[in-house]
Amino acid sequence: MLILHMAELDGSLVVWGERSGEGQHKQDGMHPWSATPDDLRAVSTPQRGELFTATAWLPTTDNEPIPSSGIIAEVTSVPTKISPWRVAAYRLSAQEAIDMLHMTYGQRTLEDGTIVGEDMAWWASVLRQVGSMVARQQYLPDVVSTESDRYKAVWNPAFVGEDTEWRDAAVAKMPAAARALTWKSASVAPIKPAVSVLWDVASNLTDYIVRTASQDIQRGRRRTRFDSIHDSWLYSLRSKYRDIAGTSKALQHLAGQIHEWQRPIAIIAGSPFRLCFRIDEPRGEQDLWNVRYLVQSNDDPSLLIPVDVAWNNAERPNLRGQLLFALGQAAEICPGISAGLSRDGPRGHTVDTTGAHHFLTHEAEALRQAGYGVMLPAWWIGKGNRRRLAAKARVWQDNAQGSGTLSLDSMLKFDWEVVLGDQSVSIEELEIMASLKSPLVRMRGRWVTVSTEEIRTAIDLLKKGRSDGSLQDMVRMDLGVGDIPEGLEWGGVSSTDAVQDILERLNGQTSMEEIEPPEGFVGKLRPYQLRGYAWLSFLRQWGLGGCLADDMGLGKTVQMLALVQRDRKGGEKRPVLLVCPTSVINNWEREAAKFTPNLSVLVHHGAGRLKGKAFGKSAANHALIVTSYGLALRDIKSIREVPWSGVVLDEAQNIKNAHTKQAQAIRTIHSDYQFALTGTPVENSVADLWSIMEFLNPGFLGRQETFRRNFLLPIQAGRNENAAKRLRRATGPFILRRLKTDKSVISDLPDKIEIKEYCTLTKEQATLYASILQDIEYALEDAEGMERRGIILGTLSKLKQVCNHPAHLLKDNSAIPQRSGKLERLTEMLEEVIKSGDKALIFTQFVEMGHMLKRHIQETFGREVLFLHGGTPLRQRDIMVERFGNEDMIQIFVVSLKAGGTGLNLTAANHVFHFDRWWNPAVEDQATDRAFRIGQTKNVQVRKMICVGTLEEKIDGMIERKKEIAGSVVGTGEGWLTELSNDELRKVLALSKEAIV
Amino acid sequence: MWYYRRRPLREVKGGIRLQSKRGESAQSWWGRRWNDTLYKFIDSGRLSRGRTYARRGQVMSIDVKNGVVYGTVQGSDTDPYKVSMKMKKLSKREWERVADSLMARPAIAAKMMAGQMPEEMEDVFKDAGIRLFPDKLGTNCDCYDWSNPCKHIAAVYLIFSEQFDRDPFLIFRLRGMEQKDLLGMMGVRLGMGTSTDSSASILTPDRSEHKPLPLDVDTFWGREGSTKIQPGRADVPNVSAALPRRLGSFPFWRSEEVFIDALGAIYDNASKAGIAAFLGDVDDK
Repeated sequence: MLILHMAELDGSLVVWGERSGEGQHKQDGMHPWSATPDDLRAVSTPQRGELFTATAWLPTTDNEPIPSSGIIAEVTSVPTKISPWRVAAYRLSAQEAIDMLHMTYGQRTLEDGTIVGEDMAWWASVLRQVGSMVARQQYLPDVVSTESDRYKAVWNPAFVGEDTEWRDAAVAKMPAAARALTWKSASVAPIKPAVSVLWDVASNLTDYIVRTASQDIQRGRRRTRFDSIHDSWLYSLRSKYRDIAGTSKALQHLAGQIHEWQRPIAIIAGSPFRLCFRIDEPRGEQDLWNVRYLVQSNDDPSLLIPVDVAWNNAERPNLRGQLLFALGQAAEICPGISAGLSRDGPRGHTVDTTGAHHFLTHEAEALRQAGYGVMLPAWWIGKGNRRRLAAKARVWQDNAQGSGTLSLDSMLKFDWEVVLGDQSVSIEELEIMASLKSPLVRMRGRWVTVSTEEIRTAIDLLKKGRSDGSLQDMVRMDLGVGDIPEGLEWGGVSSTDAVQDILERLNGQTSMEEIEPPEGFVGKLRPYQLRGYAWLSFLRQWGLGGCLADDMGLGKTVQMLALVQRDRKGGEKRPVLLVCPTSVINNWEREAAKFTPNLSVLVHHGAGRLKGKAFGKSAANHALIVTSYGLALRDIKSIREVPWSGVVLDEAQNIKNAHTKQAQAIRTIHSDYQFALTGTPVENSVADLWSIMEFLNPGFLGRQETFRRNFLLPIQAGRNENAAKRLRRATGPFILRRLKTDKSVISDLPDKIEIKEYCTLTKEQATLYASILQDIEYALEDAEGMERRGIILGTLSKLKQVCNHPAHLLKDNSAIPQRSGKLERLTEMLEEVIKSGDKALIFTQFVEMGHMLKRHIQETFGREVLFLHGGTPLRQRDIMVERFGNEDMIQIFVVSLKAGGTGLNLTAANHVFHFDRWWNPAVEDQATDRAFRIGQTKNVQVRKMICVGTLEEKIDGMIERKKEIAGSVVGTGEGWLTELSNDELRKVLALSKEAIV
Repeated sequence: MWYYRRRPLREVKGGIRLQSKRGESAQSWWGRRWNDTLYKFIDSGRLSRGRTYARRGQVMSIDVKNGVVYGTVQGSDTDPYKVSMKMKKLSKREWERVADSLMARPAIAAKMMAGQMPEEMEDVFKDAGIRLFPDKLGTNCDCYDWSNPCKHIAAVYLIFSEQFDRDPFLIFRLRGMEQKDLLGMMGVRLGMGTSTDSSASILTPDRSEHKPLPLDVDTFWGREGSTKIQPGRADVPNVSAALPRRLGSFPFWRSEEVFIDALGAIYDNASKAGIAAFLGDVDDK
């Protein structure tokens, strides 16, 4: 378990780390948990830089540094001083720093067991800001003198305006660890302020990014002879040789010139206030817009006062010069300002409508870039009702509809229409608008923006006349993609008939028609599940794909199964392919058997699976074929041959990267419809959306490069609200996501949902399980009485351990990941718990397993996990309960069933996992009630994890049946099992072949 | 001049060239006013040779120190000639009167601060009872010409007038006032911080303050999520190199390359690299 840290040292970024474990370094002054050089080698490539010993100045108590997280070591007391600790460190080159920080974008852990420290995460946001400033060109060529009286050409960031606000926020939020490193030789703790630490790194990163981008301009050996000092400076700005060649006198002179040249920016940036401009609409009939000047204080940005008030402030006479300077610079961008500088104090200036339009479209942005504040009317920035000409398509009645056979391929006729708000605009009106020659027109009491080009485009569009398109085209156009006219806002498609109905339902304007659960569906669908089922049916009917992204626990599986059942009842003969992670294959099989027992399910997995024609034949005889992502790729040839009615992806985030072979292979499977299920909110990641949509509705969002240009870059890099809105509109109809906290859902949910989570053994687990059964066969032959009892209880315990994890049985401290089907399944579910900010209790009856769980979850998610067991001192126990209740970042609490069965109040948790079973419902319920008790405000989801085809499933089945057999001893623990005959016992413990898929 | 023998001019590399190719070198009214003083005292032969010198880049350096212009001009001799020019300096008192007079005319003061010299500036000086352009100019050159101004002086003079177009503060400098000092006199804070370290970049924030490390564990290590700061947008602006463009041309630029064009190419390339750094490689593939 490694936590990586990053700090500034002489302008470079240096990485070091803390490693959990019993303080391995005992030498004097050495940080007891310092990461080793090998640890650092594992995360980077040190040959080009230098591995060295640095001093980290850390909060310290009792001669031990306070670790950054409870994951490293227990934090027991408050620090008393800052002390030096020697640590292994690695100084990163600029490129290495950028590469490493890129790996951490949006990540909490780099790989299992390597956690990104908060200080490192902070540096990652610094890199993002530097990237954004370089993109926006907010930097200047500069010069710095070094100690040896040499001068270096550098590119320095220019923090003005909004970037100053960013810098101030970053400085305030910087973890001190980001500036806590010194060379080994230093004898005092660092005192360099955060603002300088930030500047030094930001400056180096800016210089590196700009320089390497321009290096292709000049390559080759270093030049030292130049015609002038300015040529020398230019050369050093765009080659890798930063030292400027020249005499000391010439260089000093150059530095002076550069400072003189940059001075206006430095003065604006260093100003104690920010000058703001606000444009007000004309009042009355006169064509006069007011541009007003306001002063915003840096100390209190909420305070805005008119410039003339500040000007006449007798207490701050010096303010006048500063104000004039800012106004003078602004007048260079916005010449109208010169007119606003009267003798009795500047107030503002007026412009006519054309001038106002120029201000809104050009000057405002230029002023903002130069560091000024600009306040624009709501109707302009689109927050209010920004009104512009919009194009629409109006569909006319078509013959195809009369016959009632409307399909996506039906051809329709439509007219183009130009509207303003909801009113149609005629060619004549457009021509009058054009004659006004004003970019801002007042119409129906509102300001409307129209450009000559827009009017031209609108007129041309109206002259086009009637056009043809398929219903699919209309759907795409209505959602704002496909063949829509460029150069105008898009108002969608309108129609007066069945087409409109489809469009409105897709848009969510009309709710889906409710439909009954299909015949043959066993069980009840909750109201929101019925709505989801209706939604799936609607999309399926139109051959459109959709992504059901309900929260975990809301029952995506049953909604999907209901749809397949309905299709089957409707006469569909072709099978449906379901692709899911290996860990849930059994779950699908079990759920199908429970809710849709008529559907014949074929699990396509394991060494004995069918291939080629045999597979095709078998598939044709089943309703649902379940396979894993891995096999879908490996057997893609066989799979492609089958005529599928539908393809469903469970945990569809598996194909979020469009370039993976898996995603590409799956997209080549032909079917009538496609659905995706996922519990992670795909709609939040623009990059992932394309891949999933391309699977659901191929071609809908255009090619990936077009998508990147039209959506990804504007939204992620430009934070373009409009593009985000267009994307939501285009994809919204195909994503249904309900949260368990939604009002419409919460009322349908019981306070406590109990779910059985069926898991699979890995091959290793199955082999171990089988060998334990072998042993007991021989042992039981002659054993009797207490001896027999002992053997049986021991075996039960061993089998349960194998189901938990091989390392749990072997106790060999071996690797954890990928060896237990149950743990893999738990990990997948915990990911959703953590992502949605929920909290979970995990009960196990084995202390060793509790330790393994804690370690594994911490390493996977990089979050501290609490573990309470019988040996936990009372005081610690209270602290843990308190922390779990109050600290947002502590989301997982592992509790040994014996220790935590009673007394504790852990209502912060809304998920309960029973990792292994006590087989006594009363005991398990008591544990569950730690979360489900008075004080619980959320619905609680309780999951019992069961390995299919093992004793776990069989005993669970017996307990279920026992509920019908009163007075039975079944379900009171494990004792009754020892009373079974050898034959009965054999049946209970046996391993069925479905245990491993 | 019986002894005069025309010798070939020595070629200069990296000299300061007059940008105007014909006619009057100064574009601005004050540049012309400056040149008027020269035209008043020089004969047409010297003026035209001086202009040729200036256009061919014979002026090797120009420096203003303590209100005196020092120039070096390469003639036909091995060593360049040294030229100096100076004006009558104003006292601190007089400058304070000018500053006050400027503050009373905000429109002019703002223009002056933005690097412009409105014609009304002469009125501002008149209000303060001072003449902006004096009648006399103290010029000197160490060449053999008995005439003052000589062609070397003329060359330096003409180059200087072009700099005037860019920087109206030059005239103030010659009259004993640095641009930044006049701004300071008018209450303008001159840099990012209060740092007076002249070797540091003026874009650097004030770094004099010392900040010891905090003891508090949460502040020291940072609580998860507490350090998140929304970065700025990463979109490419419509006009390239807008920031340096706004700062205007570089003082006394000496290169065959056009400064702003050279920067423009760099800025455009770098914008792409900036977006890549912002998004991270993952998204960029």
